[in-house]
Amino acid sequence: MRATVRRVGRVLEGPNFPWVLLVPSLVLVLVFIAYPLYRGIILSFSRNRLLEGPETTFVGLENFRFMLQDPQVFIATKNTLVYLIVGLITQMTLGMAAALLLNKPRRFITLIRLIVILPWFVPPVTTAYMWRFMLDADYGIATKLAAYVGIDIGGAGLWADPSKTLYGVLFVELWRSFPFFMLFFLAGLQGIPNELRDSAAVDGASSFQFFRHVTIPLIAPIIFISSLLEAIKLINSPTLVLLMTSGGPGDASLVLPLLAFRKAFQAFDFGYASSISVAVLISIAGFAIVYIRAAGYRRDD
Amino acid sequence: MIREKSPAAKFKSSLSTLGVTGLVLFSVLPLLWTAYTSLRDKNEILLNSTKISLSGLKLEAYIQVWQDTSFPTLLRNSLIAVSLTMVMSLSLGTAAGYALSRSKFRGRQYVALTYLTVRLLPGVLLLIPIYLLMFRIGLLDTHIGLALAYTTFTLPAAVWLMKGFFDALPPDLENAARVDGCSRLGAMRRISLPLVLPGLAATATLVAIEAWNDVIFALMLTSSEKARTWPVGMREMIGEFQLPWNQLTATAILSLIPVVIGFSLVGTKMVAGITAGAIKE
Repeated sequence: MRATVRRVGRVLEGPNFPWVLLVPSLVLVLVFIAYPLYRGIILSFSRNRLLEGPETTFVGLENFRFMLQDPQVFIATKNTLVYLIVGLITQMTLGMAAALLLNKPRRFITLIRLIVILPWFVPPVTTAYMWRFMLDADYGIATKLAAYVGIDIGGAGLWADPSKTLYGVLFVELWRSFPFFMLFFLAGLQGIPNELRDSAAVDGASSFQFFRHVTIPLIAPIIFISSLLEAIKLINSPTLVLLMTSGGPGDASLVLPLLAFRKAFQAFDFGYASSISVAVLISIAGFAIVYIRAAGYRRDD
Repeated sequence: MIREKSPAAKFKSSLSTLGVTGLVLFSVLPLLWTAYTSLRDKNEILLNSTKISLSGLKLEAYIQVWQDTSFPTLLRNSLIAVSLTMVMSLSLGTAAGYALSRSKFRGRQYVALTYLTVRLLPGVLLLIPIYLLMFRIGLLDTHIGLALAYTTFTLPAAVWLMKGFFDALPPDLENAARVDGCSRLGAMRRISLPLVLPGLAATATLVAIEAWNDVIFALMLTSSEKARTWPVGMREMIGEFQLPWNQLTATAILSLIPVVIGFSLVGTKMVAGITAGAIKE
Protein backbone atom coordinates (compact mmCIF):
# COMPACT_ATOMS: atom_id res chain seq x y z
CA MET A 1 0.00 0.00 0.00
CA ARG A 2 2.72 2.41 1.10
CA ALA A 3 4.86 1.46 -1.91
CA THR A 4 1.93 2.17 -4.26
CA VAL A 5 1.36 5.56 -2.71
CA ARG A 6 5.05 6.34 -3.11
CA ARG A 7 4.99 5.26 -6.76
CA VAL A 8 1.91 7.39 -7.48
CA GLY A 9 3.63 10.22 -5.65
CA ARG A 10 6.71 9.87 -7.88
CA VAL A 11 4.64 9.91 -11.09
CA LEU A 12 2.83 12.98 -9.82
CA GLU A 13 6.17 14.81 -9.65
CA GLY A 14 6.78 14.16 -13.35
CA PRO A 15 5.46 16.05 -16.36
CA ASN A 16 2.65 13.53 -16.91
CA PHE A 17 0.95 14.18 -13.61
CA PRO A 18 -2.28 15.64 -15.06
CA TRP A 19 -2.90 12.49 -17.05
CA VAL A 20 -2.52 10.26 -14.02
CA LEU A 21 -5.24 12.24 -12.31
CA LEU A 22 -7.46 12.36 -15.40
CA VAL A 23 -7.25 8.74 -16.51
CA PRO A 24 -9.79 7.27 -14.05
CA SER A 25 -12.51 9.72 -15.08
CA LEU A 26 -11.64 9.40 -18.75
CA VAL A 27 -11.97 5.61 -18.51
CA LEU A 28 -15.39 6.02 -16.93
CA VAL A 29 -16.48 8.45 -19.64
CA LEU A 30 -15.13 6.09 -22.29
CA VAL A 31 -17.00 3.05 -20.94
CA PHE A 32 -20.29 4.70 -20.01
CA ILE A 33 -20.50 7.57 -22.51
CA ALA A 34 -18.31 7.03 -25.58
CA TYR A 35 -19.01 3.33 -26.02
CA PRO A 36 -22.78 3.67 -25.42
CA LEU A 37 -22.85 6.59 -27.84
CA TYR A 38 -21.10 4.51 -30.50
CA ARG A 39 -23.44 1.57 -29.83
CA GLY A 40 -26.46 3.85 -29.86
CA ILE A 41 -25.57 5.24 -33.26
CA ILE A 42 -24.99 1.72 -34.64
CA LEU A 43 -28.35 0.66 -33.19
CA SER A 44 -30.11 3.54 -34.92
CA PHE A 45 -29.18 1.94 -38.27
CA SER A 46 -30.23 -1.48 -37.07
CA ARG A 47 -33.22 -3.61 -36.38
CA ASN A 48 -33.05 -4.73 -32.77
CA ARG A 49 -36.25 -5.79 -31.11
CA LEU A 50 -35.78 -7.61 -27.87
CA LEU A 51 -39.14 -9.33 -28.20
CA GLU A 52 -38.07 -10.91 -31.50
CA GLY A 53 -34.69 -12.04 -30.19
CA PRO A 54 -31.34 -10.58 -29.24
CA GLU A 55 -29.84 -10.24 -32.72
CA THR A 56 -29.06 -6.94 -34.40
CA THR A 57 -29.39 -6.62 -38.18
CA PHE A 58 -28.09 -3.66 -40.13
CA VAL A 59 -30.95 -2.02 -42.03
CA GLY A 60 -29.36 1.25 -43.19
CA LEU A 61 -31.70 4.21 -43.17
CA GLU A 62 -34.92 2.21 -42.83
CA ASN A 63 -35.65 3.43 -39.29
CA PHE A 64 -35.19 7.03 -40.33
CA ARG A 65 -37.37 6.56 -43.40
CA PHE A 66 -40.09 5.08 -41.21
CA MET A 67 -39.80 8.04 -38.85
CA LEU A 68 -40.74 10.49 -41.60
CA GLN A 69 -44.17 8.88 -42.00
CA ASP A 70 -44.80 8.03 -38.36
CA PRO A 71 -47.71 10.20 -37.15
CA GLN A 72 -46.49 9.89 -33.53
CA VAL A 73 -43.15 11.39 -34.51
CA PHE A 74 -45.01 14.29 -36.11
CA ILE A 75 -47.08 14.99 -32.98
CA ALA A 76 -44.06 14.58 -30.70
CA THR A 77 -41.95 16.97 -32.79
CA LYS A 78 -44.68 19.58 -32.68
CA ASN A 79 -45.08 19.19 -28.90
CA THR A 80 -41.32 19.27 -28.33
CA LEU A 81 -41.10 22.58 -30.19
CA VAL A 82 -43.98 24.05 -28.17
CA TYR A 83 -42.37 22.77 -24.97
CA LEU A 84 -39.03 24.30 -25.95
CA ILE A 85 -40.26 27.70 -27.11
CA VAL A 86 -42.99 28.34 -24.52
CA GLY A 87 -40.77 26.89 -21.81
CA LEU A 88 -37.83 29.12 -22.65
CA ILE A 89 -39.86 32.32 -23.00
CA THR A 90 -41.84 31.89 -19.76
CA GLN A 91 -38.87 30.75 -17.67
CA MET A 92 -36.54 33.48 -18.92
CA THR A 93 -39.15 36.20 -18.37
CA LEU A 94 -39.95 35.14 -14.82
CA GLY A 95 -36.29 34.39 -14.13
CA MET A 96 -35.27 37.90 -15.21
CA ALA A 97 -38.07 39.54 -13.23
CA ALA A 98 -37.05 37.57 -10.16
CA ALA A 99 -33.37 38.40 -10.61
CA LEU A 100 -34.13 42.14 -10.93
CA LEU A 101 -36.35 42.00 -7.84
CA LEU A 102 -33.82 40.13 -5.73
CA ASN A 103 -30.77 42.03 -6.94
CA LYS A 104 -31.06 44.94 -4.52
CA PRO A 105 -30.08 44.41 -0.91
CA ARG A 106 -32.99 44.23 1.50
CA ARG A 107 -33.68 42.51 4.79
CA PHE A 108 -33.31 38.71 4.75
CA ILE A 109 -32.19 38.85 1.10
CA THR A 110 -30.01 35.72 1.34
CA LEU A 111 -32.85 33.73 2.90
CA ILE A 112 -35.29 35.04 0.29
CA ARG A 113 -32.95 34.05 -2.52
CA LEU A 114 -32.53 30.56 -1.09
CA ILE A 115 -36.30 30.11 -0.76
CA VAL A 116 -36.90 31.18 -4.34
CA ILE A 117 -34.17 28.80 -5.59
CA LEU A 118 -35.59 25.87 -3.63
CA PRO A 119 -38.05 24.64 -6.33
CA TRP A 120 -35.07 23.92 -8.55
CA PHE A 121 -33.83 21.36 -6.02
CA VAL A 122 -37.13 19.67 -5.26
CA PRO A 123 -37.08 16.10 -6.64
CA PRO A 124 -38.99 15.96 -9.96
CA VAL A 125 -41.14 13.10 -8.66
CA THR A 126 -42.19 15.25 -5.73
CA THR A 127 -42.80 18.26 -7.95
CA ALA A 128 -44.83 16.19 -10.38
CA TYR A 129 -47.20 14.57 -7.88
CA MET A 130 -47.44 17.67 -5.74
CA TRP A 131 -48.69 19.70 -8.68
CA ARG A 132 -50.86 16.92 -10.06
CA PHE A 133 -52.60 17.02 -6.71
CA MET A 134 -52.83 20.82 -6.56
CA LEU A 135 -54.05 21.02 -10.15
CA ASP A 136 -56.52 18.17 -9.74
CA ALA A 137 -59.94 19.00 -11.22
CA ASP A 138 -61.86 18.11 -8.05
CA TYR A 139 -59.48 18.45 -5.12
CA GLY A 140 -56.80 20.82 -6.34
CA ILE A 141 -56.31 24.08 -4.53
CA ALA A 142 -54.56 25.63 -7.53
CA THR A 143 -57.56 24.77 -9.73
CA LYS A 144 -59.86 26.49 -7.23
CA LEU A 145 -57.59 29.50 -6.87
CA ALA A 146 -57.44 29.81 -10.65
CA ALA A 147 -61.24 29.69 -10.82
CA TYR A 148 -61.36 32.31 -8.08
CA VAL A 149 -59.35 34.78 -10.17
CA GLY A 150 -61.37 33.94 -13.26
CA ILE A 151 -59.27 31.30 -15.02
CA ASP A 152 -61.58 28.41 -15.77
CA ILE A 153 -59.58 25.24 -16.28
CA GLY A 154 -62.70 23.34 -17.29
CA GLY A 155 -64.69 20.50 -15.77
CA ALA A 156 -62.38 17.71 -16.91
CA GLY A 157 -59.33 19.46 -15.47
CA LEU A 158 -55.89 20.02 -16.91
CA TRP A 159 -54.87 16.39 -17.11
CA ALA A 160 -57.86 15.06 -19.05
CA ASP A 161 -58.15 17.87 -21.58
CA PRO A 162 -55.86 17.18 -24.56
CA SER A 163 -55.70 20.85 -25.52
CA LYS A 164 -54.43 21.92 -22.09
CA THR A 165 -52.30 19.07 -20.72
CA LEU A 166 -49.01 20.16 -22.27
CA TYR A 167 -49.50 23.68 -20.92
CA GLY A 168 -50.20 22.24 -17.49
CA VAL A 169 -46.82 20.49 -17.56
CA LEU A 170 -45.24 23.69 -18.90
CA PHE A 171 -46.60 25.59 -15.91
CA VAL A 172 -45.02 23.09 -13.55
CA GLU A 173 -41.79 23.24 -15.55
CA LEU A 174 -41.90 27.02 -15.10
CA TRP A 175 -42.24 26.64 -11.33
CA ARG A 176 -39.38 24.19 -11.23
CA SER A 177 -36.94 25.82 -13.66
CA PHE A 178 -37.28 29.60 -13.43
CA PRO A 179 -34.87 29.64 -10.45
CA PHE A 180 -32.20 28.29 -12.79
CA PHE A 181 -32.40 31.46 -14.88
CA MET A 182 -32.79 33.64 -11.82
CA LEU A 183 -29.58 32.22 -10.42
CA PHE A 184 -27.59 32.92 -13.57
CA PHE A 185 -29.11 36.36 -14.22
CA LEU A 186 -28.61 37.35 -10.60
CA ALA A 187 -24.94 36.42 -10.81
CA GLY A 188 -24.69 38.61 -13.90
CA LEU A 189 -26.51 41.56 -12.30
CA GLN A 190 -24.26 41.35 -9.27
CA GLY A 191 -21.30 41.83 -11.57
CA ILE A 192 -22.54 45.19 -12.87
CA PRO A 193 -20.66 47.95 -11.00
CA ASN A 194 -22.78 50.44 -9.07
CA GLU A 195 -20.87 53.40 -10.57
CA LEU A 196 -22.38 52.52 -13.94
CA ARG A 197 -25.88 52.80 -12.51
CA ASP A 198 -25.04 56.10 -10.81
CA SER A 199 -23.54 57.67 -13.92
CA ALA A 200 -26.48 56.51 -16.02
CA ALA A 201 -28.81 58.11 -13.48
CA VAL A 202 -26.82 61.35 -13.71
CA ASP A 203 -27.18 61.24 -17.47
CA GLY A 204 -30.93 60.98 -17.01
CA ALA A 205 -31.41 57.42 -18.24
CA SER A 206 -34.64 55.75 -17.11
CA SER A 207 -34.44 52.34 -15.47
CA PHE A 208 -35.86 50.78 -18.60
CA GLN A 209 -33.25 52.46 -20.78
CA PHE A 210 -30.54 51.31 -18.39
CA PHE A 211 -31.90 47.77 -18.53
CA ARG A 212 -32.16 47.79 -22.32
CA HIS A 213 -28.83 49.45 -23.16
CA VAL A 214 -26.53 48.57 -20.26
CA THR A 215 -27.80 45.52 -18.36
CA ILE A 216 -28.80 43.33 -21.30
CA PRO A 217 -25.58 43.84 -23.31
CA LEU A 218 -23.46 43.29 -20.21
CA ILE A 219 -25.06 40.02 -19.21
CA ALA A 220 -25.60 38.81 -22.80
CA PRO A 221 -22.99 36.03 -22.45
CA ILE A 222 -24.80 34.71 -19.38
CA ILE A 223 -28.19 34.89 -21.09
CA PHE A 224 -26.66 33.03 -23.99
CA ILE A 225 -25.07 30.16 -22.06
CA SER A 226 -27.97 29.67 -19.63
CA SER A 227 -30.62 29.61 -22.34
CA LEU A 228 -28.56 27.13 -24.35
CA LEU A 229 -28.20 24.82 -21.34
CA GLU A 230 -31.90 25.06 -20.51
CA ALA A 231 -32.92 24.54 -24.16
CA ILE A 232 -30.89 21.33 -24.25
CA LYS A 233 -32.54 20.19 -21.02
CA LEU A 234 -36.05 21.00 -22.29
CA ILE A 235 -35.47 19.01 -25.48
CA ASN A 236 -33.62 16.10 -23.90
CA SER A 237 -35.30 15.36 -20.63
CA PRO A 238 -38.69 13.67 -20.60
CA THR A 239 -38.79 13.40 -16.80
CA LEU A 240 -41.58 15.82 -15.96
CA VAL A 241 -43.82 14.85 -18.88
CA LEU A 242 -43.25 11.19 -18.13
CA LEU A 243 -44.22 11.60 -14.50
CA MET A 244 -47.16 13.95 -14.94
CA THR A 245 -48.96 12.70 -18.03
CA SER A 246 -46.91 9.86 -19.57
CA GLY A 247 -47.60 11.70 -22.83
CA GLY A 248 -51.39 11.50 -22.48
CA PRO A 249 -54.27 11.84 -22.74
CA GLY A 250 -53.75 9.85 -25.94
CA ASP A 251 -50.62 11.37 -27.41
CA ALA A 252 -51.60 14.95 -26.55
CA SER A 253 -48.48 15.71 -24.53
CA LEU A 254 -46.09 13.28 -26.19
CA VAL A 255 -42.58 14.70 -26.65
CA LEU A 256 -39.70 13.19 -28.63
CA PRO A 257 -37.51 11.84 -25.80
CA LEU A 258 -40.60 10.28 -24.21
CA LEU A 259 -41.54 8.64 -27.52
CA ALA A 260 -38.02 7.20 -27.74
CA PHE A 261 -38.29 6.08 -24.13
CA ARG A 262 -41.63 4.37 -24.81
CA LYS A 263 -40.31 2.64 -27.93
CA ALA A 264 -37.27 1.42 -26.03
CA PHE A 265 -38.63 0.27 -22.73
CA GLN A 266 -42.27 -0.50 -23.44
CA ALA A 267 -42.03 -1.89 -26.98
CA PHE A 268 -38.37 -2.96 -26.58
CA ASP A 269 -37.72 -1.68 -30.11
CA PHE A 270 -34.16 -0.55 -29.39
CA GLY A 271 -33.32 0.16 -33.04
CA TYR A 272 -36.16 2.58 -33.69
CA ALA A 273 -35.81 4.24 -30.27
CA SER A 274 -32.14 4.88 -31.01
CA SER A 275 -32.94 6.44 -34.39
CA ILE A 276 -35.37 8.86 -32.77
CA SER A 277 -32.69 9.80 -30.22
CA VAL A 278 -30.08 10.25 -32.94
CA ALA A 279 -32.47 12.52 -34.82
CA VAL A 280 -32.97 14.54 -31.62
CA LEU A 281 -29.22 14.72 -31.11
CA ILE A 282 -28.65 15.97 -34.66
CA SER A 283 -31.38 18.60 -34.23
CA ILE A 284 -29.87 19.79 -30.95
CA ALA A 285 -26.41 19.99 -32.45
CA GLY A 286 -27.80 21.91 -35.44
CA PHE A 287 -29.77 24.22 -33.18
CA ALA A 288 -26.70 24.84 -31.00
CA ILE A 289 -24.53 25.68 -34.00
CA VAL A 290 -27.10 28.10 -35.43
CA TYR A 291 -27.59 29.64 -31.99
CA ILE A 292 -23.86 30.06 -31.36
CA ARG A 293 -23.39 31.57 -34.84
CA ALA A 294 -26.26 34.00 -34.29
CA ALA A 295 -24.85 35.10 -30.94
CA GLY A 296 -21.37 35.40 -32.44
CA TYR A 297 -22.67 37.70 -35.16
CA ARG A 298 -24.11 40.09 -32.65
CA ARG A 299 -20.82 40.30 -30.80
CA ASP A 300 -18.96 41.24 -33.99
CA ASP A 301 -21.23 44.21 -34.73
CA MET B 1 -25.48 59.58 -1.33
CA ILE B 2 -28.39 60.87 0.70
CA ARG B 3 -31.46 58.69 0.53
CA GLU B 4 -34.66 60.62 0.48
CA LYS B 5 -37.84 59.01 -0.62
CA SER B 6 -40.09 60.79 -3.07
CA PRO B 7 -43.66 59.49 -3.43
CA ALA B 8 -42.65 57.86 -6.72
CA ALA B 9 -39.71 56.09 -5.11
CA LYS B 10 -41.91 54.97 -2.24
CA PHE B 11 -44.44 53.55 -4.71
CA LYS B 12 -41.66 51.79 -6.54
CA SER B 13 -40.23 50.25 -3.40
CA SER B 14 -43.58 48.99 -2.17
CA LEU B 15 -44.21 47.57 -5.64
CA SER B 16 -40.94 45.67 -5.44
CA THR B 17 -41.79 44.43 -1.95
CA LEU B 18 -45.06 43.17 -3.38
CA GLY B 19 -43.16 41.44 -6.18
CA VAL B 20 -40.71 39.81 -3.78
CA THR B 21 -43.57 38.62 -1.56
CA GLY B 22 -45.31 37.14 -4.59
CA LEU B 23 -42.16 35.31 -5.63
CA VAL B 24 -41.58 33.85 -2.19
CA LEU B 25 -45.20 32.70 -1.96
CA PHE B 26 -45.12 31.19 -5.44
CA SER B 27 -42.00 29.22 -4.52
CA VAL B 28 -42.88 28.07 -1.06
CA LEU B 29 -46.70 27.83 -0.84
CA PRO B 30 -46.92 24.63 -2.91
CA LEU B 31 -44.46 22.97 -0.54
CA LEU B 32 -46.32 24.22 2.53
CA TRP B 33 -49.64 23.06 1.12
CA THR B 34 -48.12 19.64 0.48
CA ALA B 35 -46.86 19.48 4.06
CA TYR B 36 -50.29 20.56 5.33
CA THR B 37 -52.06 17.91 3.24
CA SER B 38 -49.75 15.20 4.55
CA LEU B 39 -50.96 15.94 8.09
CA ARG B 40 -54.67 15.83 7.27
CA ASP B 41 -57.19 13.03 7.46
CA LYS B 42 -57.58 11.31 4.10
CA ASN B 43 -61.37 11.61 4.08
CA GLU B 44 -61.22 15.23 5.15
CA ILE B 45 -59.07 15.92 2.08
CA LEU B 46 -61.74 14.46 -0.20
CA LEU B 47 -64.67 16.16 1.56
CA ASN B 48 -63.22 19.63 2.16
CA SER B 49 -60.24 19.67 -0.14
CA THR B 50 -59.31 23.31 0.25
CA LYS B 51 -60.37 23.94 3.83
CA ILE B 52 -57.62 25.29 6.05
CA SER B 53 -57.83 24.29 9.67
CA LEU B 54 -55.15 23.36 12.13
CA SER B 55 -57.33 21.07 14.22
CA GLY B 56 -57.31 17.35 13.50
CA LEU B 57 -53.83 17.32 12.05
CA LYS B 58 -51.95 14.08 12.69
CA LEU B 59 -48.89 12.10 11.74
CA GLU B 60 -50.94 9.04 10.75
CA ALA B 61 -49.93 9.17 7.07
CA TYR B 62 -46.23 9.18 7.92
CA ILE B 63 -46.62 6.16 10.19
CA GLN B 64 -48.60 4.32 7.51
CA VAL B 65 -46.02 5.10 4.84
CA TRP B 66 -43.26 3.92 7.14
CA GLN B 67 -44.97 0.71 8.25
CA ASP B 68 -47.21 -0.41 5.41
CA THR B 69 -45.22 0.46 2.29
CA SER B 70 -41.79 -0.46 1.04
CA PHE B 71 -40.73 3.16 1.35
CA PRO B 72 -38.03 2.54 4.04
CA THR B 73 -36.37 -0.07 1.80
CA LEU B 74 -36.51 2.31 -1.13
CA LEU B 75 -34.99 5.09 0.94
CA ARG B 76 -32.19 2.77 2.03
CA ASN B 77 -31.48 1.82 -1.59
CA SER B 78 -31.41 5.48 -2.56
CA LEU B 79 -29.04 6.33 0.28
CA ILE B 80 -26.63 3.54 -0.72
CA ALA B 81 -26.64 4.54 -4.40
CA VAL B 82 -26.20 8.21 -3.51
CA SER B 83 -23.32 7.52 -1.10
CA LEU B 84 -21.48 5.37 -3.64
CA THR B 85 -22.02 8.06 -6.27
CA MET B 86 -20.66 10.76 -3.97
CA VAL B 87 -17.51 8.82 -3.14
CA MET B 88 -16.75 8.01 -6.78
CA SER B 89 -17.82 11.29 -8.32
CA LEU B 90 -15.98 13.42 -5.75
CA SER B 91 -12.69 11.52 -5.78
CA LEU B 92 -12.61 11.39 -9.57
CA GLY B 93 -13.89 14.94 -9.91
CA THR B 94 -11.36 16.36 -7.44
CA ALA B 95 -8.46 14.61 -9.17
CA ALA B 96 -9.56 15.68 -12.64
CA GLY B 97 -10.48 19.20 -11.53
CA TYR B 98 -7.09 19.61 -9.89
CA ALA B 99 -5.29 18.39 -13.02
CA LEU B 100 -7.25 20.74 -15.27
CA SER B 101 -6.67 23.66 -12.94
CA ARG B 102 -2.97 23.19 -12.22
CA SER B 103 -1.42 22.29 -15.54
CA LYS B 104 -1.40 23.70 -19.02
CA PHE B 105 -0.86 20.49 -20.97
CA ARG B 106 -1.78 20.27 -24.62
CA GLY B 107 -5.30 19.11 -25.37
CA ARG B 108 -6.60 20.46 -22.09
CA GLN B 109 -9.57 22.20 -23.73
CA TYR B 110 -10.60 18.94 -25.39
CA VAL B 111 -10.67 17.11 -22.10
CA ALA B 112 -12.75 19.86 -20.58
CA LEU B 113 -15.03 19.77 -23.61
CA THR B 114 -15.57 16.02 -23.30
CA TYR B 115 -17.08 16.61 -19.91
CA LEU B 116 -19.47 19.24 -21.25
CA THR B 117 -20.51 17.20 -24.29
CA VAL B 118 -21.96 14.62 -21.94
CA ARG B 119 -24.74 17.09 -21.14
CA LEU B 120 -25.66 17.44 -24.78
CA LEU B 121 -26.47 13.79 -25.40
CA PRO B 122 -30.08 12.57 -25.19
CA GLY B 123 -30.35 10.29 -22.17
CA VAL B 124 -32.33 7.59 -23.95
CA LEU B 125 -29.68 7.23 -26.66
CA LEU B 126 -27.10 6.29 -24.02
CA LEU B 127 -29.54 4.47 -21.79
CA ILE B 128 -30.26 1.64 -24.21
CA PRO B 129 -26.59 0.65 -24.65
CA ILE B 130 -25.90 1.24 -20.95
CA TYR B 131 -28.83 -1.03 -20.15
CA LEU B 132 -27.44 -3.71 -22.49
CA LEU B 133 -23.94 -3.23 -21.05
CA MET B 134 -25.11 -3.48 -17.45
CA PHE B 135 -27.12 -6.56 -18.41
CA ARG B 136 -24.01 -8.19 -19.87
CA ILE B 137 -21.70 -7.43 -16.94
CA GLY B 138 -24.37 -8.35 -14.42
CA LEU B 139 -24.82 -4.94 -12.84
CA LEU B 140 -28.49 -4.53 -13.68
CA ASP B 141 -30.59 -4.01 -10.55
CA THR B 142 -27.55 -3.42 -8.31
CA HIS B 143 -26.56 -0.38 -6.25
CA ILE B 144 -23.11 -0.21 -7.81
CA GLY B 145 -24.49 -0.32 -11.38
CA LEU B 146 -26.79 2.57 -10.66
CA ALA B 147 -24.02 4.48 -8.87
CA LEU B 148 -21.68 4.00 -11.84
CA ALA B 149 -24.27 5.51 -14.17
CA TYR B 150 -24.86 8.43 -11.77
CA THR B 151 -21.13 8.99 -11.38
CA THR B 152 -20.68 9.27 -15.13
CA PHE B 153 -23.44 11.82 -15.41
CA THR B 154 -22.54 13.91 -12.37
CA LEU B 155 -18.82 13.82 -13.09
CA PRO B 156 -18.90 16.72 -15.60
CA ALA B 157 -20.41 19.04 -13.00
CA ALA B 158 -18.07 17.78 -10.27
CA VAL B 159 -14.97 18.29 -12.42
CA TRP B 160 -16.12 21.69 -13.56
CA LEU B 161 -16.95 22.96 -10.09
CA MET B 162 -13.78 21.57 -8.49
CA LYS B 163 -11.67 23.10 -11.24
CA GLY B 164 -13.30 26.44 -10.44
CA PHE B 165 -12.60 26.10 -6.72
CA PHE B 166 -8.95 25.14 -7.35
CA ASP B 167 -8.60 28.03 -9.81
CA ALA B 168 -9.71 30.42 -7.09
CA LEU B 169 -6.83 29.43 -4.79
CA PRO B 170 -3.64 31.48 -5.01
CA PRO B 171 -1.04 29.15 -6.64
CA ASP B 172 1.74 30.71 -4.51
CA LEU B 173 0.59 28.78 -1.45
CA GLU B 174 1.26 25.44 -3.06
CA ASN B 175 4.46 26.66 -4.69
CA ALA B 176 5.77 27.78 -1.32
CA ALA B 177 5.05 24.39 0.17
CA ARG B 178 6.83 22.69 -2.71
CA VAL B 179 9.88 24.91 -2.35
CA ASP B 180 9.93 23.83 1.28
CA GLY B 181 10.24 20.24 0.11
CA CYS B 182 6.64 19.09 0.05
CA SER B 183 5.69 16.60 -2.68
CA ARG B 184 2.91 17.46 -5.12
CA LEU B 185 0.62 14.96 -3.49
CA GLY B 186 1.54 16.36 -0.09
CA ALA B 187 0.97 19.93 -1.21
CA MET B 188 -2.40 18.99 -2.64
CA ARG B 189 -3.43 17.10 0.46
CA ARG B 190 -2.08 19.46 3.11
CA ILE B 191 -2.51 22.85 1.44
CA SER B 192 -5.11 22.85 -1.33
CA LEU B 193 -7.65 20.27 -0.20
CA PRO B 194 -8.33 21.85 3.20
CA LEU B 195 -8.81 25.18 1.48
CA VAL B 196 -11.33 23.88 -1.06
CA LEU B 197 -13.23 21.89 1.58
CA PRO B 198 -16.25 24.26 1.51
CA GLY B 199 -16.29 23.96 -2.27
CA LEU B 200 -16.02 20.20 -1.98
CA ALA B 201 -19.00 20.16 0.37
CA ALA B 202 -21.01 22.24 -2.08
CA THR B 203 -20.08 19.95 -4.96
CA ALA B 204 -20.93 16.91 -2.84
CA THR B 205 -24.38 18.31 -2.12
CA LEU B 206 -25.03 19.04 -5.77
CA VAL B 207 -23.95 15.54 -6.81
CA ALA B 208 -25.99 13.98 -4.03
CA ILE B 209 -29.12 15.93 -4.91
CA GLU B 210 -28.82 15.03 -8.58
CA ALA B 211 -28.46 11.32 -7.81
CA TRP B 212 -31.19 11.47 -5.14
CA ASN B 213 -33.64 13.10 -7.56
CA ASP B 214 -33.05 10.91 -10.60
CA VAL B 215 -35.97 8.98 -12.04
CA ILE B 216 -35.01 7.92 -15.55
CA PHE B 217 -31.87 5.89 -14.80
CA ALA B 218 -33.37 4.20 -11.78
CA LEU B 219 -36.48 3.37 -13.78
CA MET B 220 -34.42 1.50 -16.37
CA LEU B 221 -31.53 0.06 -14.42
CA THR B 222 -33.43 -1.36 -11.47
CA SER B 223 -36.20 -3.92 -11.57
CA SER B 224 -36.85 -5.04 -7.98
CA GLU B 225 -36.67 -3.87 -4.40
CA LYS B 226 -33.07 -5.04 -4.35
CA ALA B 227 -31.92 -1.72 -5.76
CA ARG B 228 -35.02 0.29 -6.68
CA THR B 229 -34.77 3.89 -5.47
CA TRP B 230 -37.51 5.97 -3.89
CA PRO B 231 -38.58 8.05 -6.94
CA VAL B 232 -39.30 4.90 -8.96
CA GLY B 233 -40.93 3.22 -6.01
CA MET B 234 -43.12 6.24 -5.40
CA ARG B 235 -44.19 6.28 -9.03
CA GLU B 236 -45.19 2.62 -8.75
CA MET B 237 -46.94 2.98 -5.44
CA ILE B 238 -49.06 5.76 -6.91
CA GLY B 239 -49.79 3.83 -10.07
CA GLU B 240 -50.48 0.42 -8.58
CA PHE B 241 -51.83 1.00 -5.13
CA GLN B 242 -53.65 4.30 -5.65
CA LEU B 243 -51.96 5.82 -2.64
CA PRO B 244 -54.32 8.16 -0.75
CA TRP B 245 -53.45 11.86 -0.96
CA ASN B 246 -52.20 12.19 2.60
CA GLN B 247 -49.75 9.30 2.20
CA LEU B 248 -48.65 10.54 -1.20
CA THR B 249 -47.87 13.98 0.17
CA ALA B 250 -46.20 12.43 3.21
CA THR B 251 -43.76 10.54 0.98
CA ALA B 252 -43.17 13.77 -0.94
CA ILE B 253 -42.26 15.59 2.28
CA LEU B 254 -40.06 12.72 3.51
CA SER B 255 -38.16 12.74 0.22
CA LEU B 256 -37.65 16.46 0.52
CA ILE B 257 -36.00 16.37 3.96
CA PRO B 258 -32.48 15.36 2.87
CA VAL B 259 -32.59 17.89 0.04
CA VAL B 260 -33.59 20.72 2.34
CA ILE B 261 -30.99 19.78 4.96
CA GLY B 262 -28.18 19.58 2.40
CA PHE B 263 -29.32 22.73 0.69
CA SER B 264 -29.58 24.79 3.86
CA LEU B 265 -26.10 23.68 4.93
CA VAL B 266 -24.24 24.64 1.79
CA GLY B 267 -26.85 26.40 -0.35
CA THR B 268 -25.16 29.78 -0.62
CA LYS B 269 -21.75 28.27 -1.31
CA MET B 270 -23.23 25.96 -3.93
CA VAL B 271 -25.07 28.77 -5.64
CA ALA B 272 -21.88 30.83 -5.64
CA GLY B 273 -19.94 27.93 -7.18
CA ILE B 274 -22.47 27.35 -9.94
CA THR B 275 -22.65 30.98 -10.94
CA ALA B 276 -18.89 31.58 -10.63
CA GLY B 277 -18.34 28.82 -13.16
CA ALA B 278 -20.89 30.41 -15.44
CA ILE B 279 -19.34 33.84 -15.35
CA LYS B 280 -15.85 32.63 -16.04
CA GLU B 281 -16.90 30.93 -19.25
